[in-house]
This record gives sequence, C-alpha cells and structure tokens, in this order.
Amino acid sequence: MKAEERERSRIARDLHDSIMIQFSTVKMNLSTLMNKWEQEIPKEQIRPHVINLDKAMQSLRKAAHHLMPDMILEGGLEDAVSYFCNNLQKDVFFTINLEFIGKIPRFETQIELAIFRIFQELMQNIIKHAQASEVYILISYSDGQLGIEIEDNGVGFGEKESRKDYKGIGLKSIEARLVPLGGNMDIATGSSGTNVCIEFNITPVS
Amino acid sequence: MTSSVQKQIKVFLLDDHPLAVTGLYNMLLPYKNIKVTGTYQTGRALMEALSKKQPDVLLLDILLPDTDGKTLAREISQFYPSIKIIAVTSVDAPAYIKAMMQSGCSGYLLKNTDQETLVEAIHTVYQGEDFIEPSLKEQMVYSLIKKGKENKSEWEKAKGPRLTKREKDVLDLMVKDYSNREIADKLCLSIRTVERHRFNLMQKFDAKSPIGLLKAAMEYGLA
Repeated sequence: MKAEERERSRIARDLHDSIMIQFSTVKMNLSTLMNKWEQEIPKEQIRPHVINLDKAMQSLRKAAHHLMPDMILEGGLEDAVSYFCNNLQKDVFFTINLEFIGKIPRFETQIELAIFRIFQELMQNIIKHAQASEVYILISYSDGQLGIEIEDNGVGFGEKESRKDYKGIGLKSIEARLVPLGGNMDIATGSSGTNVCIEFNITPVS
Repeated sequence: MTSSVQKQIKVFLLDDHPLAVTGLYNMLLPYKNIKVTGTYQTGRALMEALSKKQPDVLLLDILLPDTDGKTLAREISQFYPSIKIIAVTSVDAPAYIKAMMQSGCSGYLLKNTDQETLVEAIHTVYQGEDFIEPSLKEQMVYSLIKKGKENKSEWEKAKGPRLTKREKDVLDLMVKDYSNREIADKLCLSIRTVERHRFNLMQKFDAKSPIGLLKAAMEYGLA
C-alpha cells in the first residue's frame, strides 16, 4: 500500500514538474511571440491555440492531483472530499450533494489516505455504473465513529447475478481494504438506487 | 545607483526545474520596473543567497526536492519579513492555498498563469496586499460556502433535511417504537451503526431527544 502511494506520488511529481513545466514554457513562449509578431500574425489566430493549451494543462493538473493526495489531504478528509466533489461536479451530469455532520477530526495520514482512496473508488463506481442523476454524500463523525454514506438514485445492481458480478469487480477489494482500517460496509441496492455506507471505529490524532 | 533603478522591484526565482525558471524569467523580461536579480534551484541555494542579499519579491515553487515549500516560506518570512513571497505552483486545492498563505506567503499563482497576472501579482504584493490567482478565488469562496452550516438549501427549507435510505429505515422503526437492538436486528446492522444513524438524524432535525426528533420529522411529514 505504502509503496503504491509512493509510486503514485512519483508519477504525480513527474507530471507536475516536467510535463506541466514544458507545457507552461510553450504557453509562455507562445504568448511572448504573440506580442512580438503582432503585426505579422493576428492575435486571433494564435489565441485559440493558447486556450487549447490551457485546457490541456487543466486536465493534466487534475490527473496529477488524483495521484497526489498528500497535497489535497493537507486540510484533512473534509477538505479533501469537498475539493474532490467540487472538481468532479464540473465533469459529471449528476448533481452532487455533500453534507458533513459534526467536525471531522484529523486521523493518521496513512489512514486518511486509505479512506480517501476508498471514497474515490466508490464515486468511480457511481460514475461508471449507476446512471444516476443525483448523488448524496453524508459524512459524519461522533464518538469514535466515522461514517461515510453515499447514496445515488441510479439503476442499482439489479438482479442477484449482476450484483455478484458487481461485487466481484470493485466492492470486494474495498471490503478487503476496510478490514485493517477497522471498517465495515453496508450496501442497500434496488431499482431506485444504491446506498453504500462505510464506517470506521477510529481514533483521531491529538 | 541611478534613481530609476531604485524603483525597480527586485525578484528572486526559486524552482527546481530550469525550464520553469527560464519561462518566468522571459515573462518578466519586457517589464522595465521588474528585475530578476537571482534564480535558484534548491531551497538551500536560495537560503545561502538570502544571507547576502534580499529581493523585494520571491517567486517560490512549493514542490522542491530538498525541502517543502511550506517550511521554506515560514522560515523566510520569519528571518526576512520584508520579502514578499508568491507561491507558484500547480496545486489548486483550497486547503493548500490556505496553508501557504498562513505560512507567510502574500501571493498564490498557478504555473500556467499568464504574463499580465504574474506582473499584477508582483506589483500587488510589493504594495503590501495579498494576491490570489483569480481563477482560484471562485473555488476558495465555494469551499467556504460549503462549510457554512447556516446555508440551508431551498430544498431543505421546504422539505426538511435530506435523509438517506438507511436513515429513513431507522426513523420508520423508531416511530414504531423499536429499540436500537431491534432496529439493528431488523436491518442487519450493528448497534453502533444504528446509534450513528440516530445521532445523525438528531443533528439533521436539530433535536435534543428522540421525542423531539420524531416531532420534528412528523412536522415535515417524514415520519
């Protein structure tokens, strides 16, 4: 797990530090040229390319951030989840409603990271399979218990057969990862949507 | 020194990637009142240089190989409080922006910033004000709004708090006077889980007791 996160951080750093910089430099030079050759080439001809370049850089940054949670987890799970959802909302067609109950305290970094990864994966499942128009996320903490409930109004897992398949793909690995974290998962699914509830008996730091 | 030089804003650049240093350098080149007087690639090289001469403004990359930007910003603002620091990064997470500003930065720019914004940022922090990349402000405000508990949505005002399926299940059984143990058995949940759902329900309805909760839920037609 730790090695995997380290590798992700390395890739993220590569994206940030070299590819991103190369893009930045191209953009800077293009802008400089745009001003220098104003007479010869009308700005209007170059500007769309600069805008496209900007878009590419935004996508790249987003990709790198998925890999680099140590930055995003700076403010704890609450900030990380908010940040993730704010960004995701721009890219998906369903509405995301996010609610926190109680102040979510800080936990050990490795644990926060593991929980955040699980949360991201559950959201990925919804994006890929649920066909939902609305997703409601409730995160609460009280008395040593952290709860994350994710509810969508999508198609559910349907027949028992497909539910088994579904479990085979993603949920089994999530279940396995919950155990060492002292967590468990409860799933309720039907034609009106799916409710996944994970919870942890967990001690905050200081 | 001539009088025209006195007005020049002296800028140091710190970035471990030479291309980024060159890029920023070239962007600032056309501006006569801004002069890049030092470029560095490591935190240590920068600190050494600072002991000899200080710029007015420092453009600081916050992902460095030898130290992290937050620690470096804190150190610099402690030892050289007159230097205005602008963090230049590609991290746009609100929590990180906050952390950098709290560590002594006056400005926060993204690496894909444009020439005008870069120059504006340098002038703004030089004059003693804070500058945050305009495209990030929206996200900062949004993250603040999200946290304000007072901001109840229209939906909530009309229909009462939003409940999850599990919360509705628990509420229904509470109305039928089931105990926590009975609710847990019926829904195949642990008692701890039922207790958490109950706690969340009480918070959502601003109730102090189970009776207050049921009363509030009935008022909204949810029980």
